Amino acid sequence: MSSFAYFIKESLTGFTRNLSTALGSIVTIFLSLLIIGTFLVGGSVVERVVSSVESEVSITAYVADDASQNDIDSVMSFVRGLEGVQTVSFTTKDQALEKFSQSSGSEIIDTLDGQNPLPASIDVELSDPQLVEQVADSLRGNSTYAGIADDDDPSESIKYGQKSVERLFTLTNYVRYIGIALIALLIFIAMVFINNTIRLAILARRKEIAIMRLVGASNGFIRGPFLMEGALHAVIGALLAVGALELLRNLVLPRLQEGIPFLSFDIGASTFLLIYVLLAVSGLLIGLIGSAFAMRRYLKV
Amino acid sequence: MTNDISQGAPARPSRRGGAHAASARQTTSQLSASLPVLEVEDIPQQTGTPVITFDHVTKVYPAQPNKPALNDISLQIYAGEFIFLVGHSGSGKSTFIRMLIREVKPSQGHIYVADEDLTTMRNWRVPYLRRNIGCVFQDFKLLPNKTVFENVAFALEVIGKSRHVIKTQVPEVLRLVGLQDKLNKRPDQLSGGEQQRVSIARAIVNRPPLLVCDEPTGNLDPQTSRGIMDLLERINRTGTTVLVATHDREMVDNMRRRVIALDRGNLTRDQDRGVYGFDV
Repeated sequence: MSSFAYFIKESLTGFTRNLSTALGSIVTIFLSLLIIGTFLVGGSVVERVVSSVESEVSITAYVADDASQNDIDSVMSFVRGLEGVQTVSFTTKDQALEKFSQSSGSEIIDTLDGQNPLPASIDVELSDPQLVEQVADSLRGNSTYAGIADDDDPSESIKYGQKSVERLFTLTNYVRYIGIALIALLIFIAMVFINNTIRLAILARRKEIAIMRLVGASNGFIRGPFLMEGALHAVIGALLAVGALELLRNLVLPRLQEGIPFLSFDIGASTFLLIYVLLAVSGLLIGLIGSAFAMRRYLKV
Repeated sequence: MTNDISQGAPARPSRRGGAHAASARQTTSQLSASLPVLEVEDIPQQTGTPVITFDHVTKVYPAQPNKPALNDISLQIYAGEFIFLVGHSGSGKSTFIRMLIREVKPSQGHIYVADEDLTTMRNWRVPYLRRNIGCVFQDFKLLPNKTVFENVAFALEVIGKSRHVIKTQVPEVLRLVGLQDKLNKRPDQLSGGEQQRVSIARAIVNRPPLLVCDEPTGNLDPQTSRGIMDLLERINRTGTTVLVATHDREMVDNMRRRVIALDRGNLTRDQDRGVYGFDV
């Protein structure tokens, strides 16, 4: 326990004695983590936008006018049981007409002479939009639905924007992959940076390490203060990065939201909290592992 | 000063160095009054079991495969001895010392320190070996941003001694080397001789049974060197085995202690009460 107190004391005095190297490594860690954090926030914004676009995808299965309520119910419960389906609702002919009249002018309704050409439909909202094809296929293969489909050919009655959905998903997936690759690359770069800075800080003190070895300090004892110092730098850097991100969140994001109102930048406090914890933990880990790694060559007996 | 001319003559009487040396000797003798003093004749030499044994030790560095740094060295060192290790640059003195603290391992042969074989010693034991060997170097190896007190205390701190021990032992050892007034000075505020005293203080503060010095006076003028040697002699009289690698002909010739001479890696002479013996 006394040696632990010694580590803390040494790391604190080492902090003031080697102020320039300490500040150097803190700033490096801070900037690296800030960049990673910014990209994580940006990534979650993009993810949010992408999934809001994706969630627009739904399946509409038109039903013939003479379909029995029984058949409709059995098809709906069949669809409910499928993977990736969130809600299934039924739109009657009257509701469909109402919706249509809301979206288009009343002149068209007037020309209909009180007739209703619109079919009733089963509307499927998806929890996992990527599964739209699969759900549509299952519905197409359902024999009950084939009997009540509006068109003779059930695949003609099922609408989900086949081609455009495919293109949309290719695009959103690309956006995701590129985002992940970018963040991975940034994390790697940050680790190299931080490791280098810590290595320089230790290099500057190799004389001290040599003397410690000379007077018979055990390796654990030599490592202690340096690990503590690396961790201290990392934690301070991480805290600065978290603070800067918090500022960014409170000052910049609302402006962005004002400027681009049709995209949702509201990614929620929990996501931010997760990012902050992630930054702090990874900063600490990088500080500890980087120090331990950089120390290794000086601890050979 | 006629000293410089006469340094080459080994048979001349010792320490005729004028008023300065006399006063320096006086202060050091006052300082050593606190220590138990043994006459040189009283020190048991070459009796009992040796503390250090070199058993046909050969060291070949990979950079020079055909020129061994040490070639088939066998010798024994007993507790309480004062030994000079002499030889030209590149004769293997430093390799000898680096092997003692197991910074390098011998290519062949065995080294035993206090019955422990350094060639088979586990790495984690090495720090404990080094705690029993004090080391002094030509370039002092002091930490420039710590005070004298902190530099000496550092040696105790890093082996986990309590604060109480540090507070009592450090001033004591600094009094022993005559630096009790300079506790709070930094190394760059001290003269070379004083810095070397600090590094000696650091080496012996843990009371190691063996003190190894690699050219302790190499950077110092003859008079300061004499002070350092007096200090080493006093440390030796407390029972510490002292091994000094040196170029300092005058010291070796004056003190007449055991001399081990190395020449290009070979042990050429091992002589009680010997002289430096190399031509300049």
